[in-house]
Order: sequence, then structure tokens, then C-alpha cells
Amino acid sequence: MKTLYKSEYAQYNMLDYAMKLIGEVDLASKHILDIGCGYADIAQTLAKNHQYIGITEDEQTFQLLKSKDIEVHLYNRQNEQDIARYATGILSKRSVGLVCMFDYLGATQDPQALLEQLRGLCGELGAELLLSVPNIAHQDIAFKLLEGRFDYTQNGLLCSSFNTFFTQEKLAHMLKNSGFKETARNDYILEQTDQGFPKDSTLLSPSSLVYKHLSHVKRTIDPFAITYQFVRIYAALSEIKTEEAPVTKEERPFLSVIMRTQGMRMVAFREALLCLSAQTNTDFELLIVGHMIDNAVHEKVEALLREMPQALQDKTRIIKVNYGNRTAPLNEGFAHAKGEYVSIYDDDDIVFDHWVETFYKLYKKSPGCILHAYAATQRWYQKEKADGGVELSAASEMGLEYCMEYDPVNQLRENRCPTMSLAYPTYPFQKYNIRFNETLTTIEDWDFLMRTAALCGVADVPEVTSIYRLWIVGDSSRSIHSQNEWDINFHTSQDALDRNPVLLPSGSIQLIDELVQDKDEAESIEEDKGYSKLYYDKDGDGIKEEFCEKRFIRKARQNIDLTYYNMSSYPETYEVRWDPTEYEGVALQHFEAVIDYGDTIETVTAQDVSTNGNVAGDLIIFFCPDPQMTIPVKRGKCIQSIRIKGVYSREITGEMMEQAARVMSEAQIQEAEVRFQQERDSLQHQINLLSIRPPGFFARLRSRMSGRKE
Amino acid sequence: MQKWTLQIQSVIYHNWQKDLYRNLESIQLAYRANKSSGGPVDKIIFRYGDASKEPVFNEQEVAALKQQFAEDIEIHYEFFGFNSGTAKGHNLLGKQCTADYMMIMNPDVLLQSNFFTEIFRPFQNETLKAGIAEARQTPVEHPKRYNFETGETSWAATASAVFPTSLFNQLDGFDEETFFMYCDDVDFSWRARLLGYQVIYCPAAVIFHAKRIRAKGGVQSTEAERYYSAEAALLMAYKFSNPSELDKLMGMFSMGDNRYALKALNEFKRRQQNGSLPEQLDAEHKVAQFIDGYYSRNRYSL
Repeated sequence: MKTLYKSEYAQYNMLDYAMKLIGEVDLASKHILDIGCGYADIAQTLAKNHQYIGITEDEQTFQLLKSKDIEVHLYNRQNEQDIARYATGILSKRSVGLVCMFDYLGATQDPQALLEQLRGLCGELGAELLLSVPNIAHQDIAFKLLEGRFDYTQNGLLCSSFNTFFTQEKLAHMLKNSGFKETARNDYILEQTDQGFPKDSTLLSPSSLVYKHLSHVKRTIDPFAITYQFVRIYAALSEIKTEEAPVTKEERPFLSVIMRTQGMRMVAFREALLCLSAQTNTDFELLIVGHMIDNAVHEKVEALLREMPQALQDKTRIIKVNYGNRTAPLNEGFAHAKGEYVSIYDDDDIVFDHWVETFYKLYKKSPGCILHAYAATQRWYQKEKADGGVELSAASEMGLEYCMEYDPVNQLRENRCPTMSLAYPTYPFQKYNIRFNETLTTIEDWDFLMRTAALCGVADVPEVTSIYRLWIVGDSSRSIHSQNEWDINFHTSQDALDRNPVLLPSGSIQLIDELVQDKDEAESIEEDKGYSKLYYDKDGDGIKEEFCEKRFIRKARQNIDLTYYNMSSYPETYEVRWDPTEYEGVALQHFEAVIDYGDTIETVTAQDVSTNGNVAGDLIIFFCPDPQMTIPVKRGKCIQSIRIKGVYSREITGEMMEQAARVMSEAQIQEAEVRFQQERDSLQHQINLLSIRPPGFFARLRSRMSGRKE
Repeated sequence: MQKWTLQIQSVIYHNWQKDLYRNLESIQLAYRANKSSGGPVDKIIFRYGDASKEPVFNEQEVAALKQQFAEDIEIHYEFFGFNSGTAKGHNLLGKQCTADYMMIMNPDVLLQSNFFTEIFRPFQNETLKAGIAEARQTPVEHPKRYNFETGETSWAATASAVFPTSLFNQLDGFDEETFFMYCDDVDFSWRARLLGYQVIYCPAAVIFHAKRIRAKGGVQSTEAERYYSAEAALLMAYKFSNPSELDKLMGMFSMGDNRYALKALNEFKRRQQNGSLPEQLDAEHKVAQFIDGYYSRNRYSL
């Protein structure tokens, strides 16, 4: 390693991170022993504030530090196996509080052996060990490998003098097996590194779509994706603890069945267990996750289980979860799952006898994918009997709305997969830390599915393997949580998903094409709703329908630049009103109207117009149908043309909601809600009501306002 | 609580041994649950009638089976040596019954642990004149209508149904001359009702009966099921004195290109010519129902 002086090189910045950790170590009058001190700047900085002893193999560094009157010792790397003895010798019984190795571990011949020496040394000295180690799994290196590049450099992430490279896992494993326990960390996070070349590489350009996607994937699956260096402190243990043996293949079932229960429907629960006992493929385990259950319910669950065949009892574990909402037991269940796959089978649903078998056969064809089978729906009622017993009975034919192939496009809008129709590979949860979002009180399964499907994809089998029971009497998640709550959760989750590029499986273009065609057809039916209209009052008697010019806005989101010329045919204009569309839930950004009077030109912005929408800066949101904007004009003057510009959107995005939430009051939201209802009622006969979405955006808006207050 | 002895009987036909073991295990668990809760069943005698071409169990396997379950179930195994169908098979087994009650059961079903307590409730209810008690099947429940208060219904499926042995004797068993394997239970139920007994549906007595439904809806059926259900439909319409239903079915079967229906129609005509059709019953239409291809009014269609 060559001597370095200036901060052009990222390692130097690492010192800031290391210094924070060093500041937390009680050094008192103890020394810092810096083994492999190749960075003169680091040595000098440490020597300023601490009693410093450096050991280096580099003659140049040795001479430089000596000239600065810093204690430094030159040793031969060939003697690496004796470094502990060497250090003990030069210390001459001086006390040491911290042994440091900055980027040196990877340069040694046998890092494991060196660490074992250092455990003895640290143990004898009563010192801790500080390491900084570059992360070979940094996303820059991963992306470059995709290009077929692996570029050694003189220093940095891929320093040519390194013999060993480290990932988080390898470092942790090696330190543990050398008898060290991590006590603190302050890793150096750096997105663009010295490996960011060639500069014009598409895969390394942060603005490119592929970079955004890869970076999103990398960060999703690797919490150390942009960790440049691991900067950590370790304590030497008195003995080496070897790692636990991993679960062997024989002990690992194919499927872990997670069954949440609160003990509310014990009769259905018993039936659910009966269905499991009937499985033709028994390569599964059952995790009954009791959520917020007291001892009495726990005992009932145990008693039910004792009624089951011994084989089912033997493969069942009961886990109690006494915190969180209905999402918490899912995370606990997935965390405890030993199976290669996991499926969530709620305690009041029904599975057919080939439920596990069907998943297994599909897994053999499509390993690694989320497995999707069909689920029928059926309405059921629960009847309390005079003797206190309970009877369940079906009340409707089987619904087939969930008996269809997984549709990655439609699934973006709504969940069409009941939990037991899916089996998830365990790996993404347990290794990539993709968890259920415990802040969600509903749609937690959809949110998890979308994030996992973005990595794994979904494989289908057209077999009905379960029945999703819809209870006519009694509580279900549908009845416990309000529509507003569902809306808020859905849009929060959808907004989060939409912040990153989404990977769609092959065949999606066809699906999107069909959707667009459907949409175009729908638009042609309701074509009039898609027209923007400019109305004008040519005689001071008010706006009249016949004095109107139309321009069609086809796309749901587009830059608009519309010029209305023929106004000069009217010698006088008293008022101008522009209706961007007939739709509700429309937004207009960067609105600008340029009015050409022939002799003068005036520009009008969102702040100048009078509108039935809500203005937030340069954004106007129209929550209600029939949006209108009255543009101020010089009364009685002749207008040559009006040019209207802006960004039109028929979707109120999360970002727009944030913008509106910053300026709108509760009273304004209520007023908009009332207006929405009034407009909806008045339009009832004109517009197909199905096209008017429920006003979920009010709930979204309020959620953002409450978030703002917190 | 009054205690009764129960004979459970199953006609098997090339079944997998593992399915039969699983069925017996579920009976054993349900019986033990019944015993520990002071339930109504005092003793279980289990009779297999094997209608397969080759015995499903050999002698050693039968002995092992008997020994394995001896503590809870007295098992008997009889190899018929011919394909008896269900009606004749159950008659052969039923004639040997010395128990208070009989239970006709498909050999591949699984009983829920509280099964015996629930299925015997109608026989303990003095306000009812219960003749037959029928279990609820899962995952596919039969849609036939029933009285939510009393459980009274049109007929009982013998996938799992219980009745007093005296009723079996009174009815002279199943009509094995007319029915091979379908509608023998509907016929049995309707004849019991003609004697004034009620058929009681017990939704709390649950059995798992493996069925599959198609992705486009409807229960999947086998070729045998399609043929024998068509044949039985004609015979039921004739036996229960419904000539208009019979005409309708014969017309439908003769016009379509369904080979099972055509075969069933030919068989019916053959019996007609031979004079081997059953004696006609229920001329006043007191019990029989023929509604859209079902033998009951339904809560919904499958």
C-alpha cells in the first residue's frame, strides 16, 4: 500500500466515521496501536489527539511519520504470522485501548490467522479492535460486473494489493470464528465510489432507468448496497464460538403454513385444521400464530390441536405474538418458517386436499417464483344454536372472481389473490429482509405480494385449491376497517411502490396494450368528458354553451399547449372560462394562459384565476367533476388568441397530495367533499356513475395532513 | 346420556391403503373425543366390504389393521369377490349389523373430532322424529335447502349418514335391484320419509370429502359418476311416480350427444322391456322433489 496524503481518495473520509467510533472508546491514557498504517493522513490525525503507535510495512510511510515525530515501527510483512509478538515487543508494557486496522485486513496473507492472533493480543491488552474494510459487494462493483468489468485500482474498493475481499457476511463470519464480538459500527456510506468509471456507463449513471432499477433492487435485497466500508469495533471474546449448523435439507419441509388466529372462530378453525389433515402432500409444517391471545384461548388452540392426527400435531408449532396489528403475526410467522415456501392460511378459510400438492408441482416447474393457484369465494353464515354450539353453512355458489391467471398489470390496482392462493419463497423474506409493512392495518398482503413479486415473479396453475370464505354475519377485515382506511393504506402502499421502477414479466406489453385499447374505447364512448372547453361571454350576458371551443385531451397525463385562435371573430370579450375536462380527480400543474389582445400580451397563472378547484402554488387540484377556471380578461377588449399551457393529469399523485396537504385546511377538504357529493348527484343522469371513483383521495389528503402535523 | 353401539360400514373399490388408514385414524380420534366428553357412542364396529377385483388388504394386513385399532374399533373385512356397487354392498354389510345404529360412509372421508357428538344430536331430540342424520361435507358443501332450526331436509347423502339399524331393517335396506351406486341414498331417504321419519342435516357434524371444482365452476366428476347419475335420474323419476320428469329426461337424453346419457337411456329402456323396473311409490308426491336436475330445493347452485 502506497502512502496517501490528501482527501482525493475516499478512504480518507472513512476516518470521519472511524473517529466517531474512536470517540466512544474510553481510551483515557491508553495508546492506539495502528497496524498497517498506510495512510499518513490518518496516522497524523490520530496522533494529534491520541497516544499513537503505528506499525507499517511501507518504508515511505515510515520515513514520513518519523519525520513528523510520530512513533512508527517498520516491520516485514513476511513476519505477519508473528505480528502479535512483534507488537507486544514494541509496546514494552505500555497500555493500549484500541488496536486499529484501516483497510489492512484484506491485504494480509491470511486474515483469519491474523485475527486469531489479534484476539490474543487484544485479550492480553484489554483493548478493542477497530476495523475498516472495503465492501466488495458495493453496488458499483455489482453493476460493473454486469458489464463484464472488474477493475483493480491502486487503492479503493478494488485495491490491487488486496488478497481477500469482504462482504458483510464474510466479515461477520470471519470475526465470529476468530473470537470477536461486534460492539459498535459506523459504516461509511457512499453511493458514487472510486469504481464509478467509465463515467458514461449507462449502468453507472444515476439518472438512467436501468441504474435506478438495479439500485432499487440492490438496496432492497442488500442493506449494505451502498456501504463503502465496514467501520466497526469488536471486543475479543475469551473463547471462540463456532457458528450453529444450518438447518439441513432433511429437516426442511417444502411448505410452511402460517395460520393466524385470535381464537374468534374456533369452529371454522377446527375445520381449517381438518382440511390440513387431509392433504395429499404432507411435506409441510404448520405455524399457528396466536395474535393477542390470552391463556384461555391458547389452551383452546392447544386442545383443538390435540384432536388432530398425531402426524399433524408433530409438524405444528404455536407461536404467540402479543404486539402489533394483524400484520405482526405474519412477520413472526415468516421469520420462524423452516419451509422453502410459505403460505398464509387464515383460520376461517378452507383448502382442498391437493392444496399443498398443487403448490409443490408448480414449484418443481417454476422454482424461485411466487406460486399462485386459484381460490374460489363463497359466502358463509355462522349460526349460534340454542345449546350454545355454532353451525357454519354455505350461503352462496362458489365465486370465481379469483379464479384467473395472475395479472401483473391489474394487480397494480387491486389485490386479486387471497392469501392462501399464494405460496411465497422464504428466501426473499429471510435473506433480503422483505417484510410485511406493520404500519398497514389492511392490504398488508397485497403490499407484500407486490414487493416480492417485483423480484420473484409469479407462476400460475389453473387449479382451484381453496375457498375464501366471506362471512355474512360477524366480523371480517372488510367490516372492521372503514373504506377510508382501506383507501389510505392502498394509496400509501401504491405511492411507495411507484417511487421506483417496476419490473413487469414477459407478456405485460400485451396486457398493457389491451388495457390502453379498452381505455381508448371507453374514452370514445365518453369522448365529451375528455374535451377541454373554452367558453366566452361575447356580450356581457354571461357564459353560453354555444360560444365554446373544444380541444380533446387524450392522455391521462400530458403536457398541454392549446391555442384558441378564432376569438378575434368576436369584437369584444367580457369573460373567459376554461374547463380542462369533465372528469373529477384532475390536476393541473404549471398552468399558464397567455392572452394576446393584439396590441398587448398578458400572462395569467394559477394564482390569478378563479376556480372551483383547490390551488396549491402552481398546482390546481380538481377533486370534483366539472372543473372550471375563470381567466381574468380585459372586459370589452378584443382577444386575438389565448394559449393555455401546463401539465394535465387525471391522476392525483402522492406528490400532488403532499403539495395540497401543505396549504389546505380541514374546512376546505370538507367543502370539497360536499361539492363532490353535490356534483355527483347532479351528474347522476349524465355520466355513468361507475366512472366516478369513490372519493378516496380525501382520505389520502387527510392522512398526509395528519402526517404533516405529527 | 344414552349410549349406543354403532356399526360403520364402507364399500371399498380399489382404494389406496393409506387413504383407508387415514380414514380409520380420524374415526379413532373422533371416537376418543366422544369417549372423553361422555359422548353417545359406546362402541364402534367397522365393516369393510371390498368390491374390488383383487383384495385391497391381504390377510396379514387385515390382522395388522385390526390389531392397530383394536383398542377403539372392532374391524371386520369382507372381500365380496364381485363389484357390488354401493347399494348391494351396504346391504350385505348391513345384514350383519347387531349395533343400535348404522353409519354409511365413503371410505376416503375424514371425520372431524366432534363428529359423533354432533351427528347423534337429532336422535336425542325428542321434538324430532329423526330417521337419518347427515353430516356436512367440506370443502364442497351440498347446497340442498334445510330448515335452519330443525335441520330437516329432503334427503341425506351417504358419504356420511347415520340411522337406527331398525330403520334399515324396516326399509329392507337399500334398493339394490334398482340402483348400483347413485341415488340409492335419495331413494332410502325418501322411503324413510314416506314412513314418517325426518331426514336431519347436521352442519356441525363435519367430514372432509375430497372433491375438486373446475376453474370455470362446477364440481369435477368421473365417467362412472356421469353415467350412473344419468341412469339413476331416470329410475328415480319412474320410481317416484313423476312421468313428466321422466319424459323430460328421456327427451333430453335422446336428443343430446352425451354418450353417458344415451347409454343410461338404453339401459332404462331395456329394464322397461324386461319388466325389471321398480315398484312405483309416492303417487301423491309427498316426499319426492325433482327440481332442475336435483332432488331437493337448493340454497344455491354448485
